[in-house]
Amino acid sequence: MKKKGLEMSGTVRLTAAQAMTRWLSGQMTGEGERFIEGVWAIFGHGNVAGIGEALHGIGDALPTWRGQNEQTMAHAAIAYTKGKSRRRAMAVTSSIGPGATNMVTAAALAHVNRLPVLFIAGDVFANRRPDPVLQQVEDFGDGTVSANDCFRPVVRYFDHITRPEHLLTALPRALRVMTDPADCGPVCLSFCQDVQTEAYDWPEAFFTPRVWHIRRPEPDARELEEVAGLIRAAKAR
Amino acid sequence: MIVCGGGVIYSGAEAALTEFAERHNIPVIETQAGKSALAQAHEMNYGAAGVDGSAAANRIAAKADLVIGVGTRLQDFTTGSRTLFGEAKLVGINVQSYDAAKHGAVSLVADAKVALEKLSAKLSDYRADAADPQARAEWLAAVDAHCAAPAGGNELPTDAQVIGAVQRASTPASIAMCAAGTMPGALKLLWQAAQGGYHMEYGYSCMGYEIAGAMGLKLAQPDREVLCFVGDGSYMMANSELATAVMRRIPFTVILTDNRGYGCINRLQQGCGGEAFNNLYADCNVEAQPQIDFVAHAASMGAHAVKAAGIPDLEAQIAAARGRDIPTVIVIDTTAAPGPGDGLEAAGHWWDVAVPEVGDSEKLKRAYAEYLDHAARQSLVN
Repeated sequence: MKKKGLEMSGTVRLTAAQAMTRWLSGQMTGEGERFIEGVWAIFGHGNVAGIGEALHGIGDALPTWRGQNEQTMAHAAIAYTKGKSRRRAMAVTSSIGPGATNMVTAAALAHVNRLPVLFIAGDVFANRRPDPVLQQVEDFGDGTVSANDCFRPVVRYFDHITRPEHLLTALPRALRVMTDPADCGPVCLSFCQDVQTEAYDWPEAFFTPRVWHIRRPEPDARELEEVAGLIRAAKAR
Repeated sequence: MIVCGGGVIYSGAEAALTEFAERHNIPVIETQAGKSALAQAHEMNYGAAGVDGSAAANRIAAKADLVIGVGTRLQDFTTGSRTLFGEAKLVGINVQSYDAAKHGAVSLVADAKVALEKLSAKLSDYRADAADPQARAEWLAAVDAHCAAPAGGNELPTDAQVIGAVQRASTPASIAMCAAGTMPGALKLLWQAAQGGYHMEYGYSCMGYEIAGAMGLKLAQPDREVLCFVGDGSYMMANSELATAVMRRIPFTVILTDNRGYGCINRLQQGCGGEAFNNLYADCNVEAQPQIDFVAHAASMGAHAVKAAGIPDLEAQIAAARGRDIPTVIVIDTTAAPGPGDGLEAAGHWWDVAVPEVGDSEKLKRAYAEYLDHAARQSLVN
């Protein structure tokens, strides 16, 4: 027998890309603004049909910005969040292959500077039917490797979206990292192009708008006492 | 002494830091990311720390017996590659324990604003005797003179003179921004920022950040004027988001200093005992010297592009850019020869850049001997 709560909560059938854009549009700051202001986008076969369709559909609820180069679009996103003192951020999406690896330098830039950016890099087919798809890197000894593995050392959170429902955990983890003052940095969601287009019955509750407050951790009492003592004892030489 | 890092700004701790420094009479020196948390005009702001640091800041750093880092990663430019703080004890106030414990620091892991407020309450009316207002005043006067317009003649302006012109044309609403080449160190040293008036990408110092970064910064802070410094080398690496800024009507002002190559690394190369090679176009393996028309290039993407005839014209062009709804690109020819702090007494500090241990030239041998001398002063444990 179903529990009452489950009976009451409905589902909504959306592609994974539609679910991602809808979810991102409802992640808010304490000041009531979208945390992810918009999405810088250059389309290729790895994101045009899935993410491209979803961005068009969501319109001004998550605006799309068309730039000239994936790296420099990400530079704009990085400067935006630095100019906002990390209180808001932007996303950048690319196709698979060169568009994605163009973003790796910018990911490192954000990583070093502790700045939040959401990289949504298209990836090769999860179902491997056209393997190797155009622009696919082939590893002779490891079937799970793609060009997007280049992001791993230069982001604070990496996830590989090979099933639509992975977004249920991946997206909250992405926002957690971007709004955590200590762990703050870039996130890469490596989003397989076929998965972007697959439909799933999403719990409606997933899309309830959520507010992300940036916390202010209090000092430890002993550390505070020790540092106060050091300052009182200090003398210029 | 307090080293103010970017974490102060990300925490929104500017007012808490100001109050802390004033109440306890503890001078503040700045990192690239922390610069402009306090306006340069604030009496407790002693300017930039370290390799590209002010004479006043580095003087108090050498004398301090306690250095309090707030929201800083303590990268090598801040610490003079671990030679700046002498025997001083180090405190690390940071929200990230990885950073708070660096260089053997006594850690205080907390949000910067909360930590400074609580620490100030504990210290009550305690006042240090660490400040040296005369050194600060002398430094700022020296910077003004150093960045003044050239007295006359048709010589190419220096980077410092360009900064002086932009400074004089700026307002409290201006933000100076940059990322790579000569200008980041020059601006950290010489730019007298208004509060919140500085944006430097100096963690990765990524060439090609500048134009796109200026656009992103203007989106974030539409009420402020964005002044983007970019060298010809960095502009050549990435510039195409100018077209995006034109089509989205996002205005900012680009000061494109053209010294015909990589002036910063050219100086570093020679400072490390090397020969001038493969940096300035004049020293490259080329069949013809390039004549790049940056005005035509920027104009082709729809930006308002002009060539400044000299320092007074540069000032006028910056003022003229206000009110446009598209980017303005002002190109100015500069000399690559002097470093931005050359001629400023006691500016700057050693930076660890590895020098070849063996080689043919006497210049290289001297550079290596000097390198060993400096490296011996590095504090590697703490």
